[in-house]
Amino acid sequence: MKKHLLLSAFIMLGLTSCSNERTAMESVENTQTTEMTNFNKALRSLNEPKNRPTAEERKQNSLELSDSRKELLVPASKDLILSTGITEKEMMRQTGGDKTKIIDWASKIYFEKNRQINRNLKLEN
Amino acid sequence: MKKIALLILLFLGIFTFSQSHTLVIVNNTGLDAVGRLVAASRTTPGGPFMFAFPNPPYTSYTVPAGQHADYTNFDKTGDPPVIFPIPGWNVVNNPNPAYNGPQIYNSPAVSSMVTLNEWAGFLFSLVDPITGDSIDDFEIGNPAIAANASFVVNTDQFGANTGIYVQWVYSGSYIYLFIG
Repeated sequence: MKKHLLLSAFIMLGLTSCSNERTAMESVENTQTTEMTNFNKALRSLNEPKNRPTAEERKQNSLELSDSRKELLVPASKDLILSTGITEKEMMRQTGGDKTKIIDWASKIYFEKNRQINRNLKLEN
Repeated sequence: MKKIALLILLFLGIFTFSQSHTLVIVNNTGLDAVGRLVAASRTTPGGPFMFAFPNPPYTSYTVPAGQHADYTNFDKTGDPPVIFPIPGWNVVNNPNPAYNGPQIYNSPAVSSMVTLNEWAGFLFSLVDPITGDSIDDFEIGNPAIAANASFVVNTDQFGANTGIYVQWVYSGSYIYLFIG
């Protein structure tokens, strides 16, 4: 009898922990990861007064994001790419370390993940 | 290895078949950005152009305070996972007269615009989301492309009333429109 009680207690423990895990996983799927939050912050920081194009840059009337401002996005972009399980070596192989390609890749991950979160939230409601 | 090959193929596919840039609008202010989102001919003055339907529940195209929107091809702007889906486009001057007027986003009319048009600009007001008062106005985008649809836009602009800085900028396959 004691054995049975102990066994059922363990099974209960197992079941509860499994169901907890599921809710934890679901909420992770529906919220941004730290890497995503940081990428979003970096993106939004580009328009802060200290990061805006200089008067000289504005005169050139270039439509391309300047190299120094791309630099501000690179660390968060790399972190976001690596967070998907891609190795540093693979990332460098695919981008050749090119800032624009790294930012493009990270943007794609970020906006696609956001759409997934949006879709999941819609399904829940 | 198979996974990597698949990933590379996927990337090649994306870069080969996407005709226009992905547009990202980041509204970093506490005000709604409300106005006309325009796409226009890459090459031809007076050529085909179009502007976005309102995204429900709004009555004009709106990127709400603090939010972002991102759009790939014009004929995918209303797909369900899109965050502020655009249900259709008003098409003007299409070489095929049947394609002009209000069109659903995934119609052949809008698909025909994917190769003809490029994101041109956003002519918008910043609106207080509570009172509905319009606080500032911006005409922002790519001046050369917008000119083909007779719109005048700036690549960047400080709001006359708020001093809010807005910029339209390219990086790789993306256009980022930063508001504030």
